[in-house]
Amino acid sequence: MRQLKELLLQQCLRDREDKTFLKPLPPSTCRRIIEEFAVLVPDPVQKLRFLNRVLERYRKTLSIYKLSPPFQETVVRKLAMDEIERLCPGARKKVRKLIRQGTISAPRPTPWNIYKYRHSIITIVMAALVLGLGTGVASFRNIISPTPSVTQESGDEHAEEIYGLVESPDEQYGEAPDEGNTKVANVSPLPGGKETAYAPESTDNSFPEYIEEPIWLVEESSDRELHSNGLRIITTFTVENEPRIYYRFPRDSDRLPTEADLSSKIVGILYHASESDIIDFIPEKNQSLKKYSKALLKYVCRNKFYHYFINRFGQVFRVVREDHAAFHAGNSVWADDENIYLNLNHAFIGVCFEGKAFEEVKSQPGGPKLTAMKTSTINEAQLISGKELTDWLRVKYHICQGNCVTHGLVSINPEAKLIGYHVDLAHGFPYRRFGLKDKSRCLLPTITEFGFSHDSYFLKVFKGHVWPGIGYSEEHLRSRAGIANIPLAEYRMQLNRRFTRWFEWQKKQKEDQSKDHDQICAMAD
Amino acid sequence: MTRRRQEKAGHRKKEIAAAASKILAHESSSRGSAQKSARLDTNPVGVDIGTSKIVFAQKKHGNVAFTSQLNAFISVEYSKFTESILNQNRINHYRMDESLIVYGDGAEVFANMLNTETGRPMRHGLLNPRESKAIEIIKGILDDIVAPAAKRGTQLCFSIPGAHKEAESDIIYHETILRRHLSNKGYNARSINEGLAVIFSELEKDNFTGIGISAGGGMCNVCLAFLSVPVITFSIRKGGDYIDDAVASVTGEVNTRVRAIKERELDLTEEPRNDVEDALHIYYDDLIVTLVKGLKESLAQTSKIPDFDKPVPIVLSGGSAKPEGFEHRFEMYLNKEDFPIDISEIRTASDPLYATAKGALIAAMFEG
Ligand SMILES: Nc1ncnc2c1ncn2[C@@H]1O[C@H](COP(=O)(O)OP(=O)(O)O)[C@@H](O)[C@H]1O
Ligand SMILES: [Mg+2]
Repeated sequence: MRQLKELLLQQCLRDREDKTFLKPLPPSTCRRIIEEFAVLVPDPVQKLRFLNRVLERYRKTLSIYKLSPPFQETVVRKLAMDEIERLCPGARKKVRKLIRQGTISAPRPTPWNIYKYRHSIITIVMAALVLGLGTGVASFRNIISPTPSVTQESGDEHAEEIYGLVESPDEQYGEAPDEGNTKVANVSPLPGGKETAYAPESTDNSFPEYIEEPIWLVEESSDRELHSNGLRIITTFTVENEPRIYYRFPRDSDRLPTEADLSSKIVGILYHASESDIIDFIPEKNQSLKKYSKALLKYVCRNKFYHYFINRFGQVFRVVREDHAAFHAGNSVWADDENIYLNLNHAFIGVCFEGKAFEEVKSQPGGPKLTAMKTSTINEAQLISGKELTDWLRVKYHICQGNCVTHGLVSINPEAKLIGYHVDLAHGFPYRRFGLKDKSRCLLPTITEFGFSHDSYFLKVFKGHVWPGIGYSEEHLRSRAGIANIPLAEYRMQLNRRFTRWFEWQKKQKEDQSKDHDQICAMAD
Repeated sequence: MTRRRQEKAGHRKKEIAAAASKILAHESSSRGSAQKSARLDTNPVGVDIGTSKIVFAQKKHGNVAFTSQLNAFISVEYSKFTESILNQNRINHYRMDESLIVYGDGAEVFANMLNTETGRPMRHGLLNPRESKAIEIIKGILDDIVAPAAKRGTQLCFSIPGAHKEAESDIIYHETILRRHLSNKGYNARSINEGLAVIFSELEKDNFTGIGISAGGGMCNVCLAFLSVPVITFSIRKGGDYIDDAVASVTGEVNTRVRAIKERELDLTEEPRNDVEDALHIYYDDLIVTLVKGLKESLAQTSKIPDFDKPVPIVLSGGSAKPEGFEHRFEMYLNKEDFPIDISEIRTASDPLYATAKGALIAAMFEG
């Protein structure tokens, strides 16, 4: 009893730590801008969301963008504009009108332009600064020391952060091996938080992060469920596997997870294609279609491959029960604002479409055995069911759109540090039909967080046309290395090491876990 | 001897029966079937767990609907007869050894009939450490007012008091016990500071910037927030109960009568007409001065206050802020102090008894 109380206390203290209390606020001029925008949000809950997101993103924006008041204001203005558009699509226009009317203050022109081209400018400025460092960083710290409007305390904090970018201590990497005197980059979160999780080109803000409207179970019988959005699930094939339990890895630090990072929560949806044989979808082949689909379903169930399977008639089958893991993405990586996930079997729900987007090719030795088809075979019925299933799962588990992604984008070869070990649905997946941002245009955590790369085989599979997110991620990596003033290859290696350290640690945990499975389960409860 | 005891027992039974029918009338008029309708609902839920009252808030057909129960109980001798009356009239109770514990709104009616005081499972905003049955009782009241979640993971936010220097660790225990109980009912339960809840409820127009004060039964809770981010929270252990006790003790009146006068007749803008009113004025002043001084000190001590650009509003809520003239007195004492921040206005919540619950609901909707 006493012990239990202790444990509860500890849990509580942990919970309290991450409450908003110690989060620094932007200076008053910035707060005024946020308030000007907030007036446009009609409803208290939405307004809370707006404020929270702007403040959160401001907090995560690299200090270098917040050096002086004009810059701070510009950043805040941009964040507020983004968020208001997200919450009330079309608000951008209204804001412009209000600026003209003088209700909302007008942006200062120069910083705005500078901010737009911030990536290139920062690289140049940093390079110049670092060159001029000469005797040490001390003088640099003086240059960027507290600006008039930031308090002494926060000013110092900022200085430290920037300092960290230039030269951060090696021990961040644990037993950092022979790095000589090369500088080490700070593998901290992406600048600008979520915003930069998307490629600069992607401007679609029309997809809400969460689905608000309820979807509920309307009817349930021994073999099926009907949900209020029309989703029907056939439940007769459901199998058990092992309960979900996994570690979240902190995105903004290099530390290893602790017990507090242990979770059994479902945080995302991973889409797969079965890449199985495809029979012509015509009435004459009805019997074969049914027979093949059934056999495939049974195979999938026997191997506990996914949580859901959608056959070519759009029927949705539950395979592994939701609170259990399924073996759908052994080696894979995805990340959201806070966490990186290295075990999507446990953290995500696997949804498989019976279908194909790659075809085998007869090739010369060493050539690719697969090549991307122009269009996938996933049909309208499957898309409709897939959307219903997605919506329902997102409501049920409060899944953000950012965590709905396809297998091909997350799959890795951990030893070779290569992306795209599996490629199913890596191209041509109709994210928009599912109410999701196109992840093939987003930054890939495998690259930005762990420095993974791809090889020529991979390029051949896609006939040279890999998805754009890879290019954006590479560019991002390059600019980060530039900011840190270390060669790209070196930076990549550091990130690779971060991955290996975590990956090995997770592997070891899993081994220990299976030894002492019960105990871990008890802890997570 | 035997006869007298029987007579006495018979008298008791009559009293109890009368009390029960009174409660029944009260219930059918005010409470309706909150529980039944709540059960079908998957909307987020806000709960204000106060020392004297528990208030439940949920959106229904676009409006916020509130239900409440007194956070009180009374223990009466067990008899089959009493129990059947309680059952017939659906008065909340449970049996413990040789007594029946009546809790919630019914407790006060019983207490008045039997001319005794109700017990409180909470004290100064936290689970009452001197009351062995506290946890059982509060769970009972919560079960009555908060139906199990219609859907697992429905968002629920409940209020907790701000830290008090002497009771930091007690809050943790209090919060955990309640959160666990509500989570077991299928909710995704989270706590919110009571003062912040008041800000969420009342200061939307001010972009959730300002000071929220909830003056309740067991304590007063205060929070200063900027753009919804709490910067300072604190509480004082004086509230309506303190006033009742103090006035009763100096005037020799019974507690319940003092409270009745306070709630029905007190007007702080008028000259007191008798001893009780005079004492009420004195202790109300004391409460307000403590509050204002506490606020000033907290502001002076903290290093977390961001730079102030414009004056912030103060909003008053809670049962103890209800008397006519409370706002005016608060302002008067505030003006006497040299305050580290500028105050734009002082106003009272539109519905002081429900502000915390409404704010908790907004917090729950925000999460959900
Ligand atoms: N009209 C009123 N005038 C003065 N005090 C009141 C009035 N109504 C309620 N109270 C007092 O308010 C307190 C309860 O307020 P409430 O906000 O419900 O408290 P809590 O949050 O502690 O449950 C009690 O002390 C009660 O006597
Ligand atoms: Mg209250």
